[in-house]
Amino acid sequence: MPSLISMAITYFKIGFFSFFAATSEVMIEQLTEKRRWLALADYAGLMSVVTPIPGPFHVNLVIASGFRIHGFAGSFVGVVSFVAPGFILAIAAAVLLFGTAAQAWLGANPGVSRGLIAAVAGLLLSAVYKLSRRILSGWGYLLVLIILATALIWRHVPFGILLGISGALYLLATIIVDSSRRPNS
Amino acid sequence: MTYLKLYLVILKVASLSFGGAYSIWTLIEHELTTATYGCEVTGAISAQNNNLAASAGAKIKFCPDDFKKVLGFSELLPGPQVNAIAMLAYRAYGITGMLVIVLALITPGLILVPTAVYLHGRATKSKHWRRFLAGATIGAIALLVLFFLKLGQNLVVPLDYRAAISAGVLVGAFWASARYRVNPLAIATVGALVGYVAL
Repeated sequence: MPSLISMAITYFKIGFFSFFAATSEVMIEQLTEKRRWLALADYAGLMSVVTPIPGPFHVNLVIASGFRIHGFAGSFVGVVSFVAPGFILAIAAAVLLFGTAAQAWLGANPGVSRGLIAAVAGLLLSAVYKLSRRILSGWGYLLVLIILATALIWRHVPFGILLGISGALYLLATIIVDSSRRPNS
Repeated sequence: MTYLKLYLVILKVASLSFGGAYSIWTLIEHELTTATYGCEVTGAISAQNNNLAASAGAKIKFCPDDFKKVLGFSELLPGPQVNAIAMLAYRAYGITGMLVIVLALITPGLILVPTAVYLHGRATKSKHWRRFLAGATIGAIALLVLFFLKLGQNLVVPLDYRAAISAGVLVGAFWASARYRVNPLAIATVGALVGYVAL
């Protein structure tokens, strides 16, 4: 079992190098190929475990791999080390973004914010597209329409309630489909 | 006390964020972003205003203007999105507030993920539980679509040349990401440059 210090260094590296490449690729390289703390099949298994869990996927994957390697202490050390490089950068970015000079520059050039939001909207659409291709089929599309219509009509319904309704409706629909498929005895 | 409120309110958001980091943005926009007196005067809800609101039992809120700025810059910031989201707290709560947000965002994972890994093969294999979670994730897709519509609506109204260019950036960003898996950092940089030159 690796020491917590060596885990902290490795996850810090993963957090840092994910600046320049896809996080999943860096994680696979560091954890399964270089350090060999996990087998590739084990890593893939963890991916399937964390997928339905709320929260950012890669953060959850780091917690899962840290837990598998070194128990709860490993998951805590892993996630703190993974987030740390980006957090330091976020502090610098916040100081810069909300500084007087940047505020004045952004005020004089509103197109920059508009261009960024347009790019983010495109990336969001891409995330929806990728997620839909992986998850949606038959009943799923109908459920998306129902939840979307509900959220548009009753704008003040808390999203937590809508997610609960969505989960319950899907469960109910699959139970009904299962029971209708069961042969009559 | 205010930090505790901030922690709890973000913890609730994180616990419901099925479907990844964009779900967190969606939930914050829907439930925690509002234009208040503080936003109009200073552009930010001050810590003092939020302290007063929190002590009166009100929810902690973020200004729409700050939300848009941080969301826009989030893709320029490498690493996990939790750090970009933490920037929302900087003006009102400083660096401690940012730290509180990051801790709140990783807390559900720190509880649920080890439990799920530990129980792998037992509770996580419950068919009904997996179906319920799949349904909640489908609901999250619907809410992401709603968030996209809100963002898109702000970009194309009023219908002028800027709307056309914004729509072009949006479609280009989608295409580059979905079809060619271009790095989001590169896409956001191009979006900012096009905005600077043409919008």
